[in-house]
Amino acid sequence: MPVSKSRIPDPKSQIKRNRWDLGFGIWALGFVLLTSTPAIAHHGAASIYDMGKETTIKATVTEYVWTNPHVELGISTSGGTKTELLLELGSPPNIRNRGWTSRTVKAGDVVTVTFHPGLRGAKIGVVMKMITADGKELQA
Amino acid sequence: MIRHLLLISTAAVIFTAVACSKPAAAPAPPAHPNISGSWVRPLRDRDVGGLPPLNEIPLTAWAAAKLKAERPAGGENQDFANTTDPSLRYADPNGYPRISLHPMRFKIIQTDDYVYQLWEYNQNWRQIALNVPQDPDPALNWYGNAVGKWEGDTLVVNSVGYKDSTWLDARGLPHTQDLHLVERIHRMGENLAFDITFEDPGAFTKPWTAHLIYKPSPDGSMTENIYTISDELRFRERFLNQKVNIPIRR
Repeated sequence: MPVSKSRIPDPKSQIKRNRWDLGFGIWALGFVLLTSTPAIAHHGAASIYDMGKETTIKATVTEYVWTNPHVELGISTSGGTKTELLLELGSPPNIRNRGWTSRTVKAGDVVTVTFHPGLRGAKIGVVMKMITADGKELQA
Repeated sequence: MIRHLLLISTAAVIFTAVACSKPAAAPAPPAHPNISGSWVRPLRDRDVGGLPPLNEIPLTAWAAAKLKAERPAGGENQDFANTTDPSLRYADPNGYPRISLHPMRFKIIQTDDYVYQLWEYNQNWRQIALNVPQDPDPALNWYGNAVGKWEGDTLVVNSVGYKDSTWLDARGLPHTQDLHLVERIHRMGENLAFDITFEDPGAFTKPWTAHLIYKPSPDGSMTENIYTISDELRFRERFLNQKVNIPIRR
C-alpha cells in the first residue's frame, strides 16, 4: 500500500474546481443518470436468489424475527410449526416505512406470500409482497 | 380622589414607556443557508447522482489491482458468500463517503461552530468543525477529520485522516490513508448537493469529482438500525448454511 510522507494536504495543492473537474463531473453525472440501477440490497441478492422467478404460496407462519440485517419470516406449507422455508424481508426501518411492524404477523398466522426463491433448490427466498390473514397487502 | 391619582399616574407611566420605546429591530438575516433537516438519496430516483463508473475513475496501478482482487457483495461480479467487503465481513463502519451512498436518511444539525451529520444507518455520525485549522497530525478515523468554512452559500469541507481499511463505495473502490476530500455542500432548490472531490496520489492518478443529490425527507425521530457482526453471522448461518465458529445470538 502506498504511503506518503504526510497526511496533511499542502494548502497549495488544494483542489480547485478547474475546467477538467467541471467537465468530467457533468459527463460523469450524465453517465450515472443513464446507467444507475435500482437499490442495492444489503447483499448480492442475485447470487443467492432467482430474481427472474416469482413464487406465490399460502402458508403458515412459523417464525417472524424483527432483526438486522433483514427481517426473517419462516413459513410451513404443511401447516406445521417447523420452518420449511426461510424468507428474508428488508431491513427493519425500510419495511417499517412500507407498513410492516414487529407485530405484523406471528407464528400460526396463515399468509399468502410472493417471493423470489433461492437458487439451486435452497429453501430460502426474498419476499416481494405478503397478504395477511385479514387481507392486508404489504410490499416488502 | 386617591384612586383617581393612581389611575392617572399609572396611565402616564404606560404612555411614557410606549412613547419612549424604540421599534423592535428586524431579525437579522441568517448568516448562512439553512442545510439542517433530514435528507435522503433514494436510489430508485434517477436524479440523485453517484460515483462515476469504475472504468472512468483514474486509478493507480495499485488501486486497480486492489479493486480487481476484491469480491463485492453486489454488482456485476458479486460474491456475497465469500465477500471481502469489510462492512459485511467484519461489520465495520461504512466510512466516508460510503455511508452517504446508503439509501437510509441522515440528519444535519447546524450550529455556529459545528455541522453534524447523523446517519440513521448504524447510528454513525461525523462532525465538521467550522473556522478552525486542520489538525496537523490527525488521528486515523473511520469518518476522518473534517473542517469547514462557509464561502458564500457553499459550505466547503476539507477532510483527511481516514482509515484505509474502508471502501469508498460498495463496489470496493479503495483508498489510502492519504485520502483528502474536498466537499462543496450547497442547496439546489429544495435539495442539498454534495460535490465531492477525491484526491489520493496513492489511489488516483489525478483528482476526480462526484456529485450527490439529497432530497428532503420527513423529519422527526430517527429509527434505530444498528447492525452487528452477530447479525451478519446469524444471517449467513441461516440463509447460506455457513458455519459460524464464534458465539453469536440465535
